[in-house]
Amino acid sequence: MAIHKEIFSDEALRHVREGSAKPPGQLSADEIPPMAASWANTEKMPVGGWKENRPRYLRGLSPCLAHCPVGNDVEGFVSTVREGDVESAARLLAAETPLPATCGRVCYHPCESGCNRVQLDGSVGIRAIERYLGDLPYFDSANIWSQARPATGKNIAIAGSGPGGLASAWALSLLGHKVEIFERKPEPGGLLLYGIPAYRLPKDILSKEIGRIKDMGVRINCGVNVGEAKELSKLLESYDSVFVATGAAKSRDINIKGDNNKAVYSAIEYLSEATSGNIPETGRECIIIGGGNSAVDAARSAKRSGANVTIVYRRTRAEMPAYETEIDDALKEGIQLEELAIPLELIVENGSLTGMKCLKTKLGEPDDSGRRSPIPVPGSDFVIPASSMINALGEIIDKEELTKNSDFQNALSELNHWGSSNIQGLFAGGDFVGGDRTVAHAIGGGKRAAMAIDRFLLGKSANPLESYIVGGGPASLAGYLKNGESDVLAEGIKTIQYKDLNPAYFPNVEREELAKVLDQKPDNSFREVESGYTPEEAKAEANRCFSCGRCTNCGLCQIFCPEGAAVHRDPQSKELMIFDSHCKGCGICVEECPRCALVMEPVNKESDVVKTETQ
Amino acid sequence: MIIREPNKATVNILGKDHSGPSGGHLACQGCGGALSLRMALKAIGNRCIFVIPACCMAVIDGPFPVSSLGVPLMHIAFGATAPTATGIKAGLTTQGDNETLVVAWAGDGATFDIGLGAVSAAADRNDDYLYVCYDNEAYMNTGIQQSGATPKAAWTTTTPNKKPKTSIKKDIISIMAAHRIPYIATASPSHPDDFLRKFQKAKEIKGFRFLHVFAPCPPGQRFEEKNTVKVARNAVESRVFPLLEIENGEKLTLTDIPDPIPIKEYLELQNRFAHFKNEDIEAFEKNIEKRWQELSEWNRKQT
Ligand SMILES: Cc1cc2nc3c(=O)[nH]c(=O)nc-3n(C[C@H](O)[C@H](O)[C@H](O)COP(=O)(O)OP(=O)(O)OC[C@H]3O[C@@H](n4cnc5c(N)ncnc54)[C@H](O)[C@@H]3O)c2cc1C
Ligand SMILES: Cc1ncc(C[n+]2csc(CCOP(=O)(O)OP(=O)(O)O)c2C)c(N)n1
Ligand SMILES: [Mg+2]
Repeated sequence: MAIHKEIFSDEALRHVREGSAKPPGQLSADEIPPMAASWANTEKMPVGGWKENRPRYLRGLSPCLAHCPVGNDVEGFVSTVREGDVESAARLLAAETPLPATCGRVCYHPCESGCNRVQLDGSVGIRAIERYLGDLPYFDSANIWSQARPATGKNIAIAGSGPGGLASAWALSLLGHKVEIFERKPEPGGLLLYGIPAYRLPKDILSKEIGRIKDMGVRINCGVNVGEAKELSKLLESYDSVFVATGAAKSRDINIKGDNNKAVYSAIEYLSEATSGNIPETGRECIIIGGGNSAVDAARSAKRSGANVTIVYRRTRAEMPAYETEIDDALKEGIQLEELAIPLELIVENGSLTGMKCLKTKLGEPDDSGRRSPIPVPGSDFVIPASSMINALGEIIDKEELTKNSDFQNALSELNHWGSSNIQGLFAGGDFVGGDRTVAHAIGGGKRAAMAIDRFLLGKSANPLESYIVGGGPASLAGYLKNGESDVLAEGIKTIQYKDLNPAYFPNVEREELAKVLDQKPDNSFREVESGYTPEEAKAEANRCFSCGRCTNCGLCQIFCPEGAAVHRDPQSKELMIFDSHCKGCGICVEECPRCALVMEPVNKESDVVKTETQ
Repeated sequence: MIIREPNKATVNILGKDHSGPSGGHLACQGCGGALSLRMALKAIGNRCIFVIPACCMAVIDGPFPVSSLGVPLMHIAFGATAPTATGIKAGLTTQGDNETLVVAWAGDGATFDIGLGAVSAAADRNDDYLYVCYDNEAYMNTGIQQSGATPKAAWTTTTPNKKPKTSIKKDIISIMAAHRIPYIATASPSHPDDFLRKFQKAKEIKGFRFLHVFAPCPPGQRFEEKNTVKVARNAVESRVFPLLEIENGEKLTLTDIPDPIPIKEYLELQNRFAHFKNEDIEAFEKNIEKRWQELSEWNRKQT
């Protein structure tokens, strides 16, 4: 009985003291009961020592987070909607983005491409959930943000009021700095206002988003052209830092005969005029050159003003860089697509455009972009009737327009990931710096620069900026504000893949699609095409989220542990732990966890035969 | 059909911290029996007395002087489970205790084979207690000998691959149904909502109640410990272990009608079937399919 004495020295002996029982060895013959009866439980049996591998709760990273260029805690806000707490979900969203209603409408949602649900039955409708939250009254005022820091007394100038400039202004204000934006156009918003048509992003939505940022104390000075009216060098003298986010909205020239006709527009020019209310004259037959999103936006806008619209593209639909759904919608709205054609010249009669001569192409070998390149077919020229032409060949960055100073030009060409240049206090971001040109990337760049500026101005953050990067992707402002104390910033956090999940718990559920009103007939209204989720739809869609890598307290590990070793850290806590001295390391918890919130690790027999219970 | 995550009420009971048997018991890693017992005890609560014959569970509970169950438990000889439970129930009744639930908890060996006569007698008398057979499809405690619950041709130490078991798994459910007892159900720990509901329902019924629990055994059925729940789930989802309940030996309800996964997905997890060739799988499948058809027919008739 030696072993039992060892194991039960406290508890068993207490039982013996309190009851009539004695350890078996000390019983006299007449004290031996007629039937042997146990008097203690098994709690102290050191069965935990049997194991070679040990489970541990370990937060993994949902791929949507790493894929979001903004740095939104996507899984966080989606699962909070699922739990029915929309206000907290809105706050989680607000912690990383100033423009949820905008991104909720126009973001190209790389989060959805990264979503593990793609491999089951289609990604979660994250963009639409963001839109749902962004449209809630919580975002009616700047109260959704509380000043994270007291005023620092530092002043920052920002050139450009597109999403890049707005995001950095927002982040810098949260950090306590005073921000002034200089915008050359009469109204703020950049391409959100002058590029993206109102039928995708209504003006009142955008002005609400910008209004909130103004209410934080950000001054936006419109009609000021940095470079002409205000030299960059002067700005740098009068402000503690300057952030350049002037975009890339100079149209690429088409250079064909007749391109100086008054009925020839660049896409940006056309869209910009269209949003200002005076839609340029296109006549009956409007031709768009190009295959990108600007081409499709210009085409759908022209269609809304009553023209017959044809997109002329030199490859085929499959190679068009514009988004699938946008092309679908355009075709549904009656826009023609002339594939495999390159423009040769515009035919002008008596000063008016009457047609465009094109050459047929065929597809050859893939080019650098991986798409098959168009090869002109000699002698295949043909004419398309045209009363106007919109050039949507793409936009380029123009540094010379901003500054003639070559030191500045060079500095703005050699920026690091955070938008810092080698000129003290000069930073840049958004479309202006190259890379992916999307709203989300511009917001992400603006946030990164805000963190870099903050560090430059105050120089005190102990952690390197890199430590605020989530899963090798975006930077987290919320994490920065908390000095890195955020589970998604844990060192070495692993991004969860579909194969890490347990598909047994995820039945197929069809995705909630947004309703669309595609305008078959021109009505000039530019009214919004897509409508948002109802609260029920948003919740149903959020329900589809796997919550990859994050414990949702589903309880399966607790139900399935044969040892009862999966328990809450304390009765108040939602956090679970493995009671190490009972866990035998079978691994059922890790295997069964639907979302890979636990890992199995080898036990180091030497250093931790039985680890403490508070691991 | 795919299992969904358990509902909150189930988690509150079956997932509750520090309830049910205490940890530190002696089950092997990933024991489906220990898991089932833990879930069962949480479902029915502590106001009960257990009777356990010779079997793994008798060992798992702990060596004298310790016991993991946390409720009174009587260890009893192999064939004597049912009459012992009858006796304890009679004793309680005599003392005026009509609340304490008596639970006989026995292996497949003790139920399908050695104790069957005694189980039948208790069922015939409609003695008022809950009889649970946790089925790991062999005499595991003594080293994996075949029992009446072992599937045809599965490997055990007494049915090596060269000399396979020739009979199919004994149809204990029909045997029990023939006694016209008030409640019979099958349950699998892989389906917690269903498991909880059946134990709670059985607890409230008067008379002889028989629960047949599927309890995969990693060392005996030769699979990785981490796969216990998966083996149980795949048994249900491939219709190898149908989830059902029968009232008064007549009214049968299939409580889970899976969109069946291939039987291979159940068999291939376990090395006791590793020697199966395609024709063995087909033969196995045929038996399962036939049984499922019978049950579906019964389910439809609802006599
Ligand atoms: C037609 C079109 C549709 C698009 N649709 C989408 C979409 O659906 N989804 C998406 O994610 N992205 C879309 N994009 C891309 C997206 O709009 C841009 O990537 C994003 O707006 C870039 O933000 P930014 O702040 O860097 O620059 P911009 O939005 O271009 O803002 C730059 C601002 O700086 C101002 N500015 C320029 N020079 C000066 C100066 N010298 N002084 C003062 N101010 C100056 C400009 O007037 C402008 O307001 C679209 C682009 C186009 C052209
Ligand atoms: C009369 C009798 N015969 C044989 C044994 C040896 N014995 C002890 S446990 C056991 C196996 C029990 O098998 P089962 O009931 O299926 O339970 P399991 O151990 O598989 O859980 C045997 C054969 C015994 N204890 N008494
Ligand atoms: Mg057995």
